[in-house]
Amino acid sequence: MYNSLKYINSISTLLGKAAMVLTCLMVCSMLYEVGARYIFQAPTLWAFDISYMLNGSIFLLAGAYSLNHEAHVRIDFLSSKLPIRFQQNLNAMVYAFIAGPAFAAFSWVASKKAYVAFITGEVENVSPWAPLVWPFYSILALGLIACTIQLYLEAIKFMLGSKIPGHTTESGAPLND
Amino acid sequence: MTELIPIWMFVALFVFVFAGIPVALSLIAIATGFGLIVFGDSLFLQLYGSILHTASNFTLSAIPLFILMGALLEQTGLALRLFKALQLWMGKFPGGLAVSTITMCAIFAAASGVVGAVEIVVGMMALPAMAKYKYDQSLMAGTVCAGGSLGTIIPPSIVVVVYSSMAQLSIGQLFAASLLPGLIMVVLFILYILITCRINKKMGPASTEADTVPLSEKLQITLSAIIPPMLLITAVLGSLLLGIASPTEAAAVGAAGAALLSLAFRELTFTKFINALKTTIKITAMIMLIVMGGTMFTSIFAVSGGGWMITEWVDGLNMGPYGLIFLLMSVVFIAGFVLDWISVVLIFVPIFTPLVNAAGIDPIWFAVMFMVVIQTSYLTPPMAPSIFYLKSIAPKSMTYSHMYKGVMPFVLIQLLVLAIVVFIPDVATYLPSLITSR
Repeated sequence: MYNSLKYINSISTLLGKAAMVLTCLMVCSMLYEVGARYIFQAPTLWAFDISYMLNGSIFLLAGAYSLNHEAHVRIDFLSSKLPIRFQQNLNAMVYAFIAGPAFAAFSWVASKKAYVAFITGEVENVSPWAPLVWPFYSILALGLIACTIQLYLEAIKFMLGSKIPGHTTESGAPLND
Repeated sequence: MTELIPIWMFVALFVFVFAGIPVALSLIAIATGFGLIVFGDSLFLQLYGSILHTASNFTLSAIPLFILMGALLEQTGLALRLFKALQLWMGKFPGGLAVSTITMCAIFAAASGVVGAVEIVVGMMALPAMAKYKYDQSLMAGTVCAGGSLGTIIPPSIVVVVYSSMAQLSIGQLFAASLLPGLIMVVLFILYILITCRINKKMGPASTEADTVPLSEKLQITLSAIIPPMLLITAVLGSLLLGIASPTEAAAVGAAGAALLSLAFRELTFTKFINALKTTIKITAMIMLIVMGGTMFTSIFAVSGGGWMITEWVDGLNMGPYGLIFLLMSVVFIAGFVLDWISVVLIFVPIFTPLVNAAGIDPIWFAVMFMVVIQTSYLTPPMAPSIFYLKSIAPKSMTYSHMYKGVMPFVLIQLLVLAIVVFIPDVATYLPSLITSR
């Protein structure tokens, strides 16, 4: 069982790496735009759309990774005084029965949107560049699906007692040993 | 029952947040739960709108790059060298190490934009240095906490980026507006430290290290440690304020500049670069997920009549603009005790903006007051995030009572700055009036 959990956990690591690559791409594309505008006097059409699309992609692709690494702010000055077992159960319940289903529903809507955008060839209509939107929509859907899976995985880790809410380890969780 | 939904949303939010559920997930859970009552099945389409809106917000796209810039400066030795160099010049004055800590925080705050990070990075360098010269424990605690809080107000601050995206203000103008109040605050902090240490020599004894270093070496260290980061910050802020580059582009220049600087000093290894990227995506996801949850929360709050409820209530109180400002600032101050700043901005800016506009209050002036108050709330005991951060890095000899005592003078100075902004609005509005809005 631990092995299969580990396997699912690696999805978040993989998408996290993708987000890191996109961050570098974002720096490069913005520098290119500045250069194109001031040195070649030819601003690009795409810089505006690319910057927000990359930011949105980075954030959702890194969503699962950040859950795995406990990067989310908790206000825990009261809750940290509760028994650890209780904190673990409480978090597992909220992750599995409230946040998990909500993200599953978001993923469903996002996937449908991406599919429709792909079929109809929808383009971004406020931008002069008018890019196809399905690649961006698909990444959002992918990120949301990964977040959903990770939420259930985190719930299992809390239940198994292999993770304490708010405690970080460099590798993310004892599962990564 | 349904007309009370907006109130129950806040009650439920506090229950979740205090139970130690991540703030972002609390916001999303509450929005989903109450949204189902209001909307039924069509809710998820509505909430997906919030996700798409957050993910495709152009203003917010400056966030990952500003964080990357700060993470690179933090990962590589630039920060430590900067502190050593400042110490060389200022250490020989009574209280000099505390002054270099504040200066360091101000420079680092300008480069980083993440609130807790500055405090921890600077604290880990400054606490041992000050402890070595037997600085007063309260002064040490107060200095690090107050310095760490500067990240809220000194541009480029992520708080400003999120605020301007919520209030639909220009980032450049808001950065310009917070510049003078931020500088006034730094100057007052430094004056306070110098004066107390002059009166009571035991508070911050002079260091002797600097005297042994010859002037030529001092100049050389300054040239290599202070000038490059200053140039980087000037380039980023300058291009932003002069309207040469959009905030995202300026942030990209800053991140690339930080990478080049650390390469030039042979301090950027591949591992450090990857670590900086890891930090960047983690913090970006953390901030953006709260933005997403906050957007969902406020949209459900608005649809269920929360906006009307508040407008009616405030109209009923029949206050002038100053009364309104006082009321809203008190709400922000108290909310800041328990919530992190991102949630405070996300929840309250959309609720306050119509009230502020209706009362004819300058939104930029209001934004600056809002940020000073968030910063003060971050610093004010007993529930001060700054103190929790400090506790995680403080030596055992430093107790909570040292910390509470230490931050109080700085809290008073921040309230003084708030009073200055309230009574002399030009402090906030003069610089933005000079630059054209983009």
